[in-house]
Amino acid sequence: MTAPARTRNRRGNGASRQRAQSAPAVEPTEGAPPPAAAPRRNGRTGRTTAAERAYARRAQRAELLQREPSAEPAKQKTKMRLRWPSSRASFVLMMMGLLAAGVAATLWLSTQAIADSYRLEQLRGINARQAEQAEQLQRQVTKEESASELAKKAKDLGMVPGGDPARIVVNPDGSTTVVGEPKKAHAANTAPPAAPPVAPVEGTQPIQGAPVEGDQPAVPVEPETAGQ
Amino acid sequence: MAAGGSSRRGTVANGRTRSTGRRTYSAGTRKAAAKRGNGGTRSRFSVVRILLVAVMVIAGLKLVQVQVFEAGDLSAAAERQRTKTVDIPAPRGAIMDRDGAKLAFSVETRALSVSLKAMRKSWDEFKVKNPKSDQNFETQVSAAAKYIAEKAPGKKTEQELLDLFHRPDNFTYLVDGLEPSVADDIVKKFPELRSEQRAAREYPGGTLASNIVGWAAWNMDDPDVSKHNLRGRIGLESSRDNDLAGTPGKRMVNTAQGNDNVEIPGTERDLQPATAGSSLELSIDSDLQYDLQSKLADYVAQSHAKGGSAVILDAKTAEVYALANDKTFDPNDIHDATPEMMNNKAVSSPYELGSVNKLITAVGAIDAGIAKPDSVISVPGSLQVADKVVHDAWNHGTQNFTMTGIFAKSSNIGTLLLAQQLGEDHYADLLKRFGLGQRTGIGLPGESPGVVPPRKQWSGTTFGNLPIGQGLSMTVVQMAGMYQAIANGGVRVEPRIVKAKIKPDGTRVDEPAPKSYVVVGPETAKTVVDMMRAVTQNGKGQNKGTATTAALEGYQISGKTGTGQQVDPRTKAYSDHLYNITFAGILPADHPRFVVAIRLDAPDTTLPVGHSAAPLFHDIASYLTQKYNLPLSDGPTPVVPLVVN
Repeated sequence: MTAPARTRNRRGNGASRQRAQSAPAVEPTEGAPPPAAAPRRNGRTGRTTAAERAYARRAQRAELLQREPSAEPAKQKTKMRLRWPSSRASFVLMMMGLLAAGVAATLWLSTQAIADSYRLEQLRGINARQAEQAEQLQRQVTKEESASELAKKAKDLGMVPGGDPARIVVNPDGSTTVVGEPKKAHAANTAPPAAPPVAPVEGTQPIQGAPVEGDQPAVPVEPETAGQ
Repeated sequence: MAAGGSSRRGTVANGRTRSTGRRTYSAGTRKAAAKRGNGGTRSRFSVVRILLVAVMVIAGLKLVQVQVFEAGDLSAAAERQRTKTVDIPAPRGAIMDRDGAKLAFSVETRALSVSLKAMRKSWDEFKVKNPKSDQNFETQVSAAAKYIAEKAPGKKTEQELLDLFHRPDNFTYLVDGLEPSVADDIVKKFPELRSEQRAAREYPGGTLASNIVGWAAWNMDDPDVSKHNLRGRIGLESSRDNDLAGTPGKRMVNTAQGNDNVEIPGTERDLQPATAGSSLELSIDSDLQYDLQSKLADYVAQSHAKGGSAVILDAKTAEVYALANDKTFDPNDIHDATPEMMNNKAVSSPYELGSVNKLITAVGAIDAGIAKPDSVISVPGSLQVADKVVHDAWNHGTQNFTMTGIFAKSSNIGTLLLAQQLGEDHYADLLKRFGLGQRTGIGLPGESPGVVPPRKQWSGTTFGNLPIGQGLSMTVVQMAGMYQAIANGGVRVEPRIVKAKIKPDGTRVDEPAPKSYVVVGPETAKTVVDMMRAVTQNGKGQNKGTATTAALEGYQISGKTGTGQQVDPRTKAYSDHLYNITFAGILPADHPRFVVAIRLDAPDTTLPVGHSAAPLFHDIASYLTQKYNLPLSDGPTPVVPLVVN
């Protein structure tokens, strides 16, 4: 759409505006040849070469006229427009710049990523070590606080089970009653909590071999059921 | 022919082109040429075009084949080339007691192994390359053995490690159970060694509750290495393995240089995350469990018994607070365990319990209104049952017992008289209601249902045996269950040992509530509990119960002693010197909190501690009252007459 080289008589915006002002008078007749200009005609279109050029110029003017309304704000847009490469060389330069920046950014990012992954690896190592340490401590604590270990330690300290304690009951009137008899705890290796001496039930005789206190064996009346 | 024509025309066309120099054809010329060109040139073009299209089609088809049909295989093959999958082990859940104290948990460990074949080969090659070097396989091996023995004391000695290195095998494991950092250090120093990820199970309590918790060990049975994991072998570790184990995950790592050991950092991605196993919370109280285990073991030793079991249940919920055998194994040192130690006899070995079973007759008689606790019953010195004569354990003439006295003094004849009034069918029904002959579903493996002869097979003497606890067998848990039923107002709840499952995210999933069965009404249960208090009564004259030593100052105790005759394995008949000494009791009788059942296997009944388990009950009850701060009973047990003249 660029105007042919014939636009050399155009001298900037001011001139074109001037011409553009006179243009509306011509506009209605656009497309139709002016009646007085037909001495030498082209074979195909019926116009002379000069006429054709004139038409071209007019078309150009008309085009300029159409652009006219946007000419005012164009002053502000110039800055924007300047940014666009006006030549092939600057375009190529810009592309190369972009490419270089892209490559640099990619390199930088991947370096960062790898550096991060090494750091991650390192932190994982630290994490694993500390998890192991925590596990070890947990192991120790759990072992130390288990009932069997505590009992052993208590025993080593010379502690013995307390036996039957006596209890003090506070009555509603505020007086107290001692239930049970406070006894000295004895060392664990002494005799077990006293089983009172065998006391046969009065007036009875134990059957031979049968336990006396506690209970009597049920008399087996059905030895043949043995093994059931 | 067509080719000749086309070449001639081609020449003509070329001539023209040449004559016009660099100028392009005008539109008219082109049109003309196109009109003329429907001969050889076009067909040559079409041949090429067809060829090209054919190539494109072939390429397209191949593309479809590669991208669609073979896509999976090819990408898998590519993956294999540049990646490797690493297994992420799933941590096994812990087993805790009711207060969260850990009874079993897992720790991460490493096992060191060495490929002896590869190691020898590489040292042989080294020898060829450096003939003057002092270093060889032997020096390296002895250095490694020394270093490992030093770094991991108590695992293997230097000599043992050297023996392992000199085994004629291609591959051997050197040492297991190393801490990861120690293993990493060793492998760094001796790159021939390989460190393998494993887990070990820790049992901080040792023998504490090991009969319940069981034992898990590293399992390498599966040929697929990724499936090697800790697996439960005994106890809850085995029966709840599915809950505890979790699911191992998989992670993919890119590798470089076609070598699986060269991983590219930062390329790990989880294919399938590992799901940790759930933890189990038991109803066991580890302090109580320890106390019960040690007291029982002491008592068994003192009474010269072959063995013993005991259980403590919550009177309301039937949760198992403690379950012990006299002997148990240490899961941290499983090699010393004998099969007998690993047998959880408290649930697996039923026995004939003797007079403790008289409870059923008492419950039946009260419930049916046959007698009241203070009813007087005339008990003769002997009783004919079918073709046998039954005696009481002590000689007496016809005596007037109260019903309470029959049970407190454990009269066989009195019990049988009551049972006969109750009737066989009613009695058989009660046996079923008390859950005898059925598994309790406690949640431990290898539970025995015990043996109760089916009603149809009862002979004339069967009913002379069952009421006094012979001719049927049960486990100590079932025995405790009977007393739990009456302590809980006649509602029997199945005992349970696992309270809840705790998922890896911390959510708690309670175990399904145990089934409960109404055995008798609450009034009957209360009456029987009160009546059975007389067993521990220490009255004057004949008003003494059979278990005065079970009494605990300040608390009312309800219970029953038992002496069941064992079958002598040699004579296959009831033995006159092998007894099961049993006791079941409720603490405190007025506001039941706990039920304790004890069985001693064949103690020396001539010893004071050997003929009754009541002193052991006393000790256990005394500990329970202190541990759980049980309030004292409202008053001392009222003394009631047992024998009336």
